[in-house]
Amino acid sequence: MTVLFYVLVSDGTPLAIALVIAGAWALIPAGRRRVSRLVVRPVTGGSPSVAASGVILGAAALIMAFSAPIQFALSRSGLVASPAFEYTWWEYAPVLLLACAALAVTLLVLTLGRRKPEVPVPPLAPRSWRTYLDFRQLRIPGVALAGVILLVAFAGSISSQDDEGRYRWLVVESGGENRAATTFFGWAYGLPVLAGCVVLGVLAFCVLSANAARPFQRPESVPADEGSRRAISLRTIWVVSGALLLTLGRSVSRVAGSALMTTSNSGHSWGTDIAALAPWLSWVAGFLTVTAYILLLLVVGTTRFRPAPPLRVEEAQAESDPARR
Amino acid sequence: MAGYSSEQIADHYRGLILAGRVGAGDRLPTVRQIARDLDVALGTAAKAYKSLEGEGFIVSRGAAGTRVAERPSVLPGPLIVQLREAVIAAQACGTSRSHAIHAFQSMWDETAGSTAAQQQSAPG
Repeated sequence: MTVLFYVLVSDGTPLAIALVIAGAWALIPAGRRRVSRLVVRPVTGGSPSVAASGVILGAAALIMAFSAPIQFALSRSGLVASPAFEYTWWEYAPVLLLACAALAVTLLVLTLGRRKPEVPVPPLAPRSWRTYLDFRQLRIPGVALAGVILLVAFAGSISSQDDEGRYRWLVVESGGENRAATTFFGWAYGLPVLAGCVVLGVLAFCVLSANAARPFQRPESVPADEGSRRAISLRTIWVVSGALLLTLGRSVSRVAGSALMTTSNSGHSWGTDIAALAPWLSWVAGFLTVTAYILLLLVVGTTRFRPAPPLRVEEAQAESDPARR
Repeated sequence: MAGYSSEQIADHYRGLILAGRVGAGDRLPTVRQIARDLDVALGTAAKAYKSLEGEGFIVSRGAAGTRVAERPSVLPGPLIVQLREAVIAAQACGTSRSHAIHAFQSMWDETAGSTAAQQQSAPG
């Protein structure tokens, strides 16, 4: 079994489409300019936690992008229980949990790696979690979160209890005492996903706040340091967006799969109430998954896994000169 | 700026307000942020804000943060322009900050002295 096999049999097609789009986006000048905002460029004498934060978020994005083949390989090896038979509360939330872990480590690195300023810079205005973030950048995670809430409420409301009282089945009644059931994204799976979203949101807020609160090292390095703060903020938002969209995409895909269930009795066949929605849901799931992969792959592609020489103050000043941008 | 006193911090923000770099109603950094950025104790930064509040330059509004007072006793606009031009001219000549401040203080004392003498010698 090769890695390629696992990729192809799991989420291979959306990942391949996302790779092509992300690659093309990074090739055109306008796209490259936008993507370059994700690159973390620490300045000489700055804290190593800045570069480390960029790498942690990049590594997390890489694992999240390949989480489907990894999960598939783990389930085939028997290390993880097959979700079709056993209830595992985290079945739809591994990407969210991974993103939470990455943000927790980033927060720790940014907080513990804080350096005292060499030449203190008196602040002119308050800095908060929003300081290095364009408000428009919150649209994608905002829409994704709204989608997750709506899906959990919708799927939860039509789910049914299993033998142990957990809402994780979709039941098709076929008259009389006959009924068929399949595993479904009910409350038993949706509520843990929502809890994961809340934890992810809180951690993202803490990372953005810790990133903004770091003291500047020297007055000359302020423009470059602000650039690296913007990059870390944007990477954080894209990792959060990727996690939310990927979770939403996979959940919608499973709902679409369950919606196609049918059962027959006495020559008649019955389907689910949401069967008509299944094709639309499949397309929506594909779109969400591809978008998530694009964001994550662009974060991976702009990660400097090998330590690059930090920017000297003169270079940093030249880069921050608006005439050169 | 490690070891900055509360007076120096208050001087800095007083200067920013007087020079119009922060306007009436503008939000100022939190005490915690100033302490972190300037590497001073929280109490030192809080003392600086308290003294500025006492002078009527700033107002603390609890959760809404600290803001520049609505009517801080700022310098007149034309004077700010002239002072800024003088600072730019001094920097262009390569004059150091401390030399420029000493010269300013000396001129201030000299002018204040001559004005007082004129008032004393004036009839009535």
